[in-house]
Order: sequence, then structure tokens, then C-alpha cells
Amino acid sequence: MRPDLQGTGLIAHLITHLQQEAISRGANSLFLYTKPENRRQFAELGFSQVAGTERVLLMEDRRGGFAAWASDIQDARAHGTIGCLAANCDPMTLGHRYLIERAAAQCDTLYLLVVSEDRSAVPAAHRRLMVEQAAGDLDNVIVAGTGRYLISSASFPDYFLKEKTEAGTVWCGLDIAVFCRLAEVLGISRRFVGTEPLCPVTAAYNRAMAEALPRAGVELVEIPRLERNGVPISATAVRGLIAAGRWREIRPLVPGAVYDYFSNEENRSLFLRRCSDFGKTGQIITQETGGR
Amino acid sequence: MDLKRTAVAGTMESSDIMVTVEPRESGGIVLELTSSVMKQYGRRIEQVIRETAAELGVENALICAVDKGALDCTVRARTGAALFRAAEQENGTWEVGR
Repeated sequence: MRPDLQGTGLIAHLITHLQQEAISRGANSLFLYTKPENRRQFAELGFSQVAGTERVLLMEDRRGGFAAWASDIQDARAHGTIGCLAANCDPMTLGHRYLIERAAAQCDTLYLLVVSEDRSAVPAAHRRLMVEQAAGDLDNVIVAGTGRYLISSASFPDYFLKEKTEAGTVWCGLDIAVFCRLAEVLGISRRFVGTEPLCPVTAAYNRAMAEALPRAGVELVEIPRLERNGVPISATAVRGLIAAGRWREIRPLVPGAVYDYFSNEENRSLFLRRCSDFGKTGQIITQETGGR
Repeated sequence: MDLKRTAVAGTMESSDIMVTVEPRESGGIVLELTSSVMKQYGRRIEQVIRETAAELGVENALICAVDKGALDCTVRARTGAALFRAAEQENGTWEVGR
């Protein structure tokens, strides 16, 4: 803002207008990014901090927003060593299943967070349902969503813009800061990820976590990906087969619930429609691995 | 009064209050108040907002209010307007001199 206009209440005017505009367009709440030194100024306008790094803060206009999300996830059954695995599961594969099993075996309770942001080929609600069906037999696994806070377009925009992103500039510090805050609330001491040989965004995310999580008292555990005939099982490959009309060939790669889902023609055409919708705007997630 | 959508009234200009109302199914009235005069008048502002909601028969809602030193009558008017908009009723009966 121009120095001669600072202190004139212009920011209050601007934020008022933005909030009115957002509500009239059906967005009920706002996130904002700012520099740490502006925290107080925006706090006076009703924004509270979700998470922050040395360079940037993520704030929201609902004071209780983050806490409400965290307490929605929190489960009374959680005890002992508590772990966390976050995955998009677009769609869930046997690679995901293997990763979940291995992670669940290494802790007493595993929070399995499925990406809630609805910007992938399979609708968020369907991804979540298939995960619940295909991991429901593991009784120490609690399935929940990442909400608007984790691996979301607010905390980790690069995740949804992979084609444009260089591995060296992946901006995941905020997402990791959000996770550390969640870990504290839920008592999470281990975060599980799949090793990432293919996707540069996920690989950079894993490297950044390996550095940052121990400082927050969380151990990062990397699990090698499940391979079939020497090739890692990936959701990318599964999506490729479905898109090519070869959906029957996904059978050895996915849990039964996922195969059943794609046996339905309506679900397949929804998938193809979303692929082309997101493809046009560059929003489709083009690489996915067992780690996510 | 039955709330149907999220609505807002007021501004964050000096002497005004911006009130955002979000419908809730349960949990009573949850109030998130930010005020430039929190120490002096925070409890009074909260009381006026809660009274206004009660008078309009609103039992469950998230109300976020950012106050910049509004007088009681302003707090009442902005809260009422936000609630009426949230209920999609723009024809509130306004009183003068309360």
C-alpha cells in the first residue's frame, strides 16, 4: 500500500468489501496470506492465524475454524503411539492399501486423512467412500478428511498445479506448519509417506517434511512403494487405464471396492468428464503415487 | 427465525461493526467478537448481540463480529440486518428510539 495512504483505514474498507463480495458469491469464509509483521493488523479485522512460517502467515476469518476441524478429526479411540498418513487416493490402489497396512502396523492408532479438496478426477466424496470401504477392516485406522486446512488449495496450492511447479520452488512450508499444529492437537508422533521416485512435487514435500517434522517432535517414516512386475503401483497408471477405456485391466491394481466402483458405467463417464474438465484448466493431478 | 444462508451486515469503518452470521443446526449462539474496545465494552457488545438474536428467535448460529467502537443502537441494527438477510427476509420491522 502507498505510504501516504497507510493509516487511513483503507485496509478495513478493502477487507469489508472483499468479505461482502465473497459472501454474495457463496464463499462463506476467507483465508488470507500475509507477512508475519502484519499479524496484528489483520487480527484487529477479525482474522486469526491458522499457521505460519518465518516468511508467511495463513489466517482465516473464523477464529474457531481450525480448532473445529481438528476436533472433528479427533477420535476418542486414539491411544498409544498415534500416526498419520495423508493421501489423495485418486482412486485408491493396492499401493495405498499396502502403505496403510504398513503404517497401521507401526502405531497403535493411525489417522488416515483423505484429501478433501474436490479438484481430482474422482469426486472427493467418492474417493473418501472407497477408502472407507477398502480400509475399513483395519480396526486401528481412523479415516477423516484434510478439510480446508491440509493439502488444500489454501495451505499447499502447488499440489494442485503440478505441471507449473518446479521441484526446487515447491511451496509447502505452510502445509507442514498446519500439519505440525494438527499433530500437537491430536498427539501425532509419526507421519508416514511413501517413497517418491517419480513426482517432483511430492518428493520435495517429503524432503521438506523430513527436515521440519523432527523439530516439532514428529518422526517421518518413509515406506517403500509396492511394486507389481517391477513397476510401482500408482494411481496415475490406474487413471490412465480408465481414461483409455481399459478399465477392466485395473483389477490387479486396486481394491475390490474400487473395481466395483469403476464397473459402473455412470461412474466411469463421470470420471472421464472430470478428467477433461480439469484437464482444460490444468488442474488435474497428473502424477500420483502410493505416498499420497 | 430460520436462517438459510451466510450473510453479512455493516462495515469495519470507525464507529461501525461488521456482523457475519452463519446458520448452524445446533450448539446455540457461538459468538466470535473482535473489538477495538474489547476491554471496555466487549461484554456489553456481546450482550447486545445475544439479546438481538434472542429477540428475533434465533437459537443456533455462528456470529462473527468485528467491532470498531459501534454504539449499542448500531450493534443492534447491524446484528438484526445480518440475521434478517441470513433468513432471506429483508422486510424486518425497524423501531426507532430503543
